[in-house]
Amino acid sequence: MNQVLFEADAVSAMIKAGESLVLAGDEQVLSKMPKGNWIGGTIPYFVGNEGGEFSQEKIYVTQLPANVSDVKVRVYNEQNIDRIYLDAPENGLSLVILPAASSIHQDFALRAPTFDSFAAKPLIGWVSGVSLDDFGQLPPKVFVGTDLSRHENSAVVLSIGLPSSTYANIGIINLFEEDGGDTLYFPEDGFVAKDVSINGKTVNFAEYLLKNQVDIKSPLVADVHGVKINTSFQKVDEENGTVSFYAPTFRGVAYKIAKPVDNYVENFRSVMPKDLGNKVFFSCNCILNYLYSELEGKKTGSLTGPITFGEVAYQLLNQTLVYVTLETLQEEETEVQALWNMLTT
Amino acid sequence: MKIKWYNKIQVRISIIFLVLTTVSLAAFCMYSYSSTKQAMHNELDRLTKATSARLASQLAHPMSLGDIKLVESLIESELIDVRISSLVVTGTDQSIFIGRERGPDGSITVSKGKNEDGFLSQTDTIVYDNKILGRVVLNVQANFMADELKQSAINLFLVATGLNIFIFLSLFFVLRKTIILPMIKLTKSTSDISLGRLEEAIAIRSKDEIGHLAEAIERMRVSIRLAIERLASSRKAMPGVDASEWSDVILEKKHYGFEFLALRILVGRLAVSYRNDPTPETMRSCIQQLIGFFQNEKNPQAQKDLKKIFGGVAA
Repeated sequence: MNQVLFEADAVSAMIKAGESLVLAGDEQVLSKMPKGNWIGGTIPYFVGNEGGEFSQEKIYVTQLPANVSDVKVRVYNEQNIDRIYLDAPENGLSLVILPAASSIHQDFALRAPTFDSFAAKPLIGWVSGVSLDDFGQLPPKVFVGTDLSRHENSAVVLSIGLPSSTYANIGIINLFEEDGGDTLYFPEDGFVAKDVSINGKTVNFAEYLLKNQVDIKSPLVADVHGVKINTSFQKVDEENGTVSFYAPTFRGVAYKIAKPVDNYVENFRSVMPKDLGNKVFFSCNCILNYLYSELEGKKTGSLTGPITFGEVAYQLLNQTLVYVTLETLQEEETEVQALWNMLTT
Repeated sequence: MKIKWYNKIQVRISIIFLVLTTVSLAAFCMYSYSSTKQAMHNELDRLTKATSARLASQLAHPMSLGDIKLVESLIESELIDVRISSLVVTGTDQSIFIGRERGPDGSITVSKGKNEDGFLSQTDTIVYDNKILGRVVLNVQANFMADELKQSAINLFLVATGLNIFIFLSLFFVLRKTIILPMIKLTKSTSDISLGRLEEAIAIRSKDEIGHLAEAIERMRVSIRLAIERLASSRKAMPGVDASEWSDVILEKKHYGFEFLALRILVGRLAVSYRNDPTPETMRSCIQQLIGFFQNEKNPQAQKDLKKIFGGVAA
């Protein structure tokens, strides 16, 4: 198993050696990195080779495979974030980092499904955060190594081109299932909901949750063609009658409250795809899974990565592990692809 | 296309091999003939010298006694060896004491002279009690050796010719089985491919270079077939925004069992968009997005999912 967590000096040496990297670490340690071809996001929680870990000294390093090309770093703000899918390479992968609780985070979460070429090109990523003790006091940030700038309200994307025989395949592991109870429809898109339609009746969602003693550690789950999309609860404000979320709820989507997951680690191992091998290029898991399932010191199979304040697999997700594998087309498929390219260009 | 017989690889290789084996075997025959001839010559030379010396020794005592009968008897017994053509015993004055020679029909007659025109000739002095009594002259006939050599050459020629024919026929049939027939099959298969007949697999399983060539052509056949199928499928599968299959997907009319995560998320989002704004314009926009997605997507899972929409392979 390759090392993934490094001391700052070792990462500096990699950058100086010209490696292209995606970094996750505390702001203090990322700020020590030299200029180079890297992007980063703040977070002090990780799953390393030894399991879940909190560290403000170590950096989680994602090294790019040798056969990638056309490595580009782009910074997006609210004016141009809608180009994020359009700018992605024809055959490649884009890895995005968004700072948590920023307007770019909210904007991407709400509007990404409406962007041109949404889901047409692989986009994976995560939402940067801070130590939970500092949340609300220190803003999460993203770093751009090429000019050593850091941003509180911009998204940074590192895109890579892949050889024609290789393609990126994004997967998610979500242990949450609907509880079989009420189906919820929200009247509008947003991170905060006041009312919800349940069985044709509009009720106050905060009241509903309190009345039914819903454990908000379990997220809302929407079944999208077999994909379970979570929306995690952030807070129930009884006084104002509002419920806030870590990701937006969308109008027209059928949600259900998820069943609690008893033993996250055991369940995780049982659903983890068996054929991932060494193909996983990057993965990350949610801070809420880390906290609620007490992942510190525990391993989640062979998958490592930063513990994040939100995950991106084409769109923003919550309480989900996302991963991307770099798959090689079978020789036969490569030949077919080459002919196909010839026939269609 | 018919290939003229002299242009066929099988014929060319066989002829080249035939020429090479013929030259090799001819050289071997010549060497063998020459060696045999030399060996026979040496053997006759040894025989001539040994017989002459032995006879001179054996004749010494009867000659000293003047026992002509015994001398005759000894000479005639030596002539049993058919290689000896004549034996003459002369006195000290060179007159013939007793002489015998082999006639053309093989009969033994009285020799009229020394007859030294044989192939090999040897003369030894007959000495008894330190006194020279005469000489014995022995001739070996050449025609005997020529006959043996001729027979040996004929045998060599027959063996070489037989071997050559065997090698030629073996090579001819081995070439035919291992190269020519597979090549004919491959030629037919590639001709079929060039004519668009892509269904029949190439059934050559040998592990040699021809087998590798067949494998490569088989892969080419499969690739072309799949690419053409994919092209046909894409043309057929994406007829335009008016196709009802697209709207069925947006309306989630059935469970497709899509495999590709991006498609599942996209279709989910498009379905929600339409539910929130169920107008023909929204449907058209959703379908255009879906078409755009498939037009640019290379992931093999997407191609399978496209078949599920238009190929009737709904899960």
